[in-house]
Amino acid sequence: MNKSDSVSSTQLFYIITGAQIGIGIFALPRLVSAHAQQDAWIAVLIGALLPLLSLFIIVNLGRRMPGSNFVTMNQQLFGRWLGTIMIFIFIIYIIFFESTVIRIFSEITSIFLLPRTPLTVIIFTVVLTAVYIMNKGAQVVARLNAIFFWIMIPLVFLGLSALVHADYTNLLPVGEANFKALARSALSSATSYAGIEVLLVFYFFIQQKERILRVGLLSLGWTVSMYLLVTITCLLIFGADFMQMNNWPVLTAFKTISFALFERPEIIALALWLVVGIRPIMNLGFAAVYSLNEVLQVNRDKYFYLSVIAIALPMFILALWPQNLLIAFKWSEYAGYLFFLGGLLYPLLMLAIAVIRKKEIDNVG
Amino acid sequence: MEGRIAVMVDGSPTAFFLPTLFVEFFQASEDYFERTYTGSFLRFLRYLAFFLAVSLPAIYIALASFDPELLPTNLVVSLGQSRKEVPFPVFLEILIQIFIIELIIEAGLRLPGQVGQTAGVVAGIIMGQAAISAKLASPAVIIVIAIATICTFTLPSGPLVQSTRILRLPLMVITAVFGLYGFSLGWVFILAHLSSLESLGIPYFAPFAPLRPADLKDGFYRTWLWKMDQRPTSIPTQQKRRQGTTRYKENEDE
Repeated sequence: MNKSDSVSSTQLFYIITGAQIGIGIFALPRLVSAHAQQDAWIAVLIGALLPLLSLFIIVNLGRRMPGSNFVTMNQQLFGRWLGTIMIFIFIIYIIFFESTVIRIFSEITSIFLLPRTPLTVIIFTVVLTAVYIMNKGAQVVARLNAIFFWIMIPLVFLGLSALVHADYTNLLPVGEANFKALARSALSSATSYAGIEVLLVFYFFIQQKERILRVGLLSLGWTVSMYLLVTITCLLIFGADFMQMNNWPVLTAFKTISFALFERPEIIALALWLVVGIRPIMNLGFAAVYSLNEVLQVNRDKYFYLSVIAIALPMFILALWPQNLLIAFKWSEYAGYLFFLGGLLYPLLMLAIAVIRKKEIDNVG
Repeated sequence: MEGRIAVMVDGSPTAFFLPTLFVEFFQASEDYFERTYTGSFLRFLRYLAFFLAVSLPAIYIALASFDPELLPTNLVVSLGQSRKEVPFPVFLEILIQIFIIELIIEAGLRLPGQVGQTAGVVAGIIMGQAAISAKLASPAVIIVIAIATICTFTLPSGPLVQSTRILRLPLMVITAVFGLYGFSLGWVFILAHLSSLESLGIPYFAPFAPLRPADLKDGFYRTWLWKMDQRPTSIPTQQKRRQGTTRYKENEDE
């Protein structure tokens, strides 16, 4: 493992939360309250069971195969050729997922910040930033995640001041949604927890493996808290019905904040806007780049940037593909469903095979 | 010296420490002569000064050209009135004024002794007023540039001043192109670059980048001296305790 790739277990907290909390948080209240109405926050909690399961599976998998990185893990479990194919499928999944993230982030930027700039240019700047960061290695990615996390904390507190418009009756009556509605909303909320599969690749980078489960649970707890906070705040301010008319309720709520001395605190959010969106792109993007690099056995020191470009270019092209925002939303929905495959079924499959072939792997390792 | 290596070169008037951390450029010895609140206030001031020195022209460009609605209404009105008389776009206006101020600073350095300082002050005032009268700049721009320049002079170390003066220009360019989004773009690039630097193998952005809470006590603020009994963990040393006497807490009798 390259020296520039070692990550501490504390940094893993920032990486996982960074990979999960991206631009999905803005549309979350609308998506979750579509069926569950005012019980959307219950759906957010139920949906968290999926990444929890994923976390346990991945940690267990990592424990069974100590010392192997994501690539060798696949190749040992599936055999060389099928393993390589699975890695490429994983990489393509990440490329598709991140291109939807890039597209929606650029759309939001275009609508709120730069209406006259061509979308291509905005997408290009996002991809360029991601390329610049991913090129530097896992350590820098981890450090940046930590910095961005702490930069965002004041924004969270600022957002809480929107609660002056809160009306607690919007949350009542509790428990009105039937099981089917809750299940459908929980499905939507589960898709926004995508990003936990970044642990598959980053597991190898961390030195203190025994702390990974604890840190993973903490980061998942933070993500759930953030989502819960945002959902309940939006429910309190808007109410479940009105939220359906708003594409991004969180942004609308943030725009309503105004103090006597400081009329538009949203300027702080806008000045930090890229920080909000770049985290999942650089985390999962780096996971894909590293896997590609290892699979193709490219010289890490000299030609890493080629792997970075090989991942960034398809992301850029795919991000440009949807013709308008509605199609981009559809793509993002599909990417969310793909998370069930890539984030849950895929690690589960690997774990199952690891358990079944336990004897053979012990002999090999 | 906290376990660092000092490098002194024969024939050079300066010496420096290795490994260097970013926070060291904000630590000045007078922080430690005062009590913790004064020292911390000075620290905060320097970090704020650094941020303003680099970002203030860029923020002004972003707000004046792209997003005037983010400013308080009265301010927008007066800004608009003064700006409409200036024939240049905001970016060009600020660029010209920055150029003039940099020239004044350099000229003040070269002129001998008292003449240099007086010339600097007088030139600053007169050029500023003349620029406003000639409608080459609006008063807001002069204020912005003045504050940014004063902030650069608050910084305790020479290299940091130079870097700040240079760094504000690309940030201005990218903000002029992309507005507030460009501002965040520029800062992400700056932070990414800072986080990737290493000095003798030690991460340069150390108490902030690989987050080391134990070292933050001398970062943004300066803790009580009785708490500063360990050397910074970012610097690899064999001895963890600081040498020299560290004060005891006021309540302890010993």
